[in-house]
Amino acid sequence: MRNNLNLNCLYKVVEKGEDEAQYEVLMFFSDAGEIHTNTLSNVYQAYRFHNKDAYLFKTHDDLGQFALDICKEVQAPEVFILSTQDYNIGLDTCSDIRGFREIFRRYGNIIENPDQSKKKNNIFNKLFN
Amino acid sequence: MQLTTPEIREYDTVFPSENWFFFWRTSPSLWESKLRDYKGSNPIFIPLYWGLHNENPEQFDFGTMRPETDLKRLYEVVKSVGREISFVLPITPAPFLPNGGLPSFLARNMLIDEDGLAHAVVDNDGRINKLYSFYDPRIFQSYRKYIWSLGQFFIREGIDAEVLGVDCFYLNKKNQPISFFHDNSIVFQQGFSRYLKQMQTDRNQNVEGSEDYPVLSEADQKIEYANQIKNLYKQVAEENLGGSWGGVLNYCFLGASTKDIFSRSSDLWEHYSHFFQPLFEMVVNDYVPNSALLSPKVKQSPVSQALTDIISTQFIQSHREDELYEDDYDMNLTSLIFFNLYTSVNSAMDTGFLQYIKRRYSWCYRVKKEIKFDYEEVDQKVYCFKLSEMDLSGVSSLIKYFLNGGKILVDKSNAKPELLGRFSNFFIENDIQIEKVNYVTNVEKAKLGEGVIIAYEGDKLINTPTIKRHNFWDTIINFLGIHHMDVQGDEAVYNFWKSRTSNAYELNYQEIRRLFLYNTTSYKKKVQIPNHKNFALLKTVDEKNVNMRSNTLGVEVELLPGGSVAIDYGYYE
Repeated sequence: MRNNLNLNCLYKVVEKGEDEAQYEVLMFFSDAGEIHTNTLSNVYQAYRFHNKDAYLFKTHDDLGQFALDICKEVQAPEVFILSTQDYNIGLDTCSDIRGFREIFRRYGNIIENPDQSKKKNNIFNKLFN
Repeated sequence: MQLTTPEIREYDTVFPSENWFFFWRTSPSLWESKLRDYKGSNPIFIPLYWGLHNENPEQFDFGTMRPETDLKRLYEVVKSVGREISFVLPITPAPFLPNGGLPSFLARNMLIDEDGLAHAVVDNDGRINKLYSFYDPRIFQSYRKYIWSLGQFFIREGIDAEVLGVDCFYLNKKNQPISFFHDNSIVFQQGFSRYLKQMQTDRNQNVEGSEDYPVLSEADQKIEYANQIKNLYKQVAEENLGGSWGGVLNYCFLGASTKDIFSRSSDLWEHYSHFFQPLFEMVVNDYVPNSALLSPKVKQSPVSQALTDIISTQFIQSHREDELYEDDYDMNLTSLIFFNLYTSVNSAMDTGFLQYIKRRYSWCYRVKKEIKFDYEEVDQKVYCFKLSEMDLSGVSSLIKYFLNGGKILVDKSNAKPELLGRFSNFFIENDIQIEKVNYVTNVEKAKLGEGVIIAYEGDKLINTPTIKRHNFWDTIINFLGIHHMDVQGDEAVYNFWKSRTSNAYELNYQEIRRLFLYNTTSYKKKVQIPNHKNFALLKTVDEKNVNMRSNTLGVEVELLPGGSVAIDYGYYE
């Protein structure tokens, strides 16, 4: 996988009773394709609290931390996290591929990979990027 | 190698897939020249785009106001260039049309999948087609008006062309075909609640027939409700189009799932190899694949060759509702089918049968939804059933087919006693000898003339080791006398078989079988085809980036990236 591409994480909220909710990752991808299942599974082990074949999280913060861990693992600069509700709103407003590609950036929450930000601040990177 | 995204030619835009003519994408003054230049076979399929003819709620335009909506002229133009014509009427949301075909004033509630994602697809021009729920009562009312107006227009203008209903499907992540009628949106939920309420009211008021309402799980009730609503749309079309109505065809669209939009919107991600598996899954699930959404980049790949090889006029004809014989044998090449599966895919997987036939006979099987036998012309296919998934009439049909010389494979496990009784009594009553063998599981074999029935206890195969299961199926299938060539190679090289009867110059052979090979990778791949005593190599056709060597052991095919070839074998006994 190319490590200079942004990542996108699409998740859905799974209602558990009246006040409880869990967060399930539906897709984790960049422009080059989906993040490999092995990478997702390995990183997910630290968050696993069930035996289901799904990437479920108890809190939104856990989901965010997981997304950041994946970002670090594949050395991506940032990840955009988007819920299905926000995805649907974004989809409603776009009419072509160009607009569609912007949905995650426009409607998602951004988490930057600090490792990559440090690299960006390096003088040579400033010159060459 | 192509380094840039290919530019969309107008040809791709107006003829995006298998003889489909998107007339609204070009000027009416060019219809004739486009159709005259088009090299594809007959008939030309003309999709009916509701939104085009119904821009205002109370107004339908079939050519009175705008020339691009003039269906009468279009019909005459197609006829004048000597082409056959079939109009295509979507009875579900249509992924190849903006708003799924709906007029924009009705595009309100988007179709939602089981994960809560709104359904949209990328068309072959890079536009996003959003799909809307057909469960909105306003849509049904407007659809009725539209179809009525269309029917009246056809009668008034003397258009005697056939109108085919199109039920649109996509493949989900498990490669199962899902109708575009499948929906989880709020309007579906509201409609479903009304339906449940009505059922309850009918029961409480003892409405005639309500005592027969089956007790179903919520998931099954949703399916039942969805089928009822879909049938309403179908009935409207059937009633209003009268003599023109040509029944419904199940089309499955490549690249049309909710998640395909992610890969298909990225040049780095989308690759033609992604479409091979879905294409063949559609074929074995008995749907007509459609490539209208695929980009020109994908169309310039071996996918296009595979589509041309598979989807012939005969192939489409064989999928029509009124067509009893699938892939009728004649001098045209038709799909080679050894097995018709009337069992659920899950149970065929549990016993290892599906894995076995996939590996040994690649795509030479079909998953069928309803039992349809031709008792007059019994064919050589093996009809596979699971007794527990059948009713008494199904068992009777199965027995009748066996008596007529059919080959039947039945899984008896977990069947209801009355079905088992009906099945066993038949052999006793007719004094037909049953040979019983205990090999991996209990197997019973009976023969009567050409007819063969093999019954087995499938549940005992579930926990049997894979190799043992494989040997079991090998023995059973050998007994049924199916001869087929073995194709040994990488999984990324797809193979597909067709067959035809032999002609006057090929009388040494019972039939001619054609093997199609496609390398879907960016690497060189080798395929071995060992010699078989019942087959003779005849010729190769349509070689593209392929090297072939023949030796005493068989044929070795070297396929370069994107390479494809067809090889003809003569079959004799």
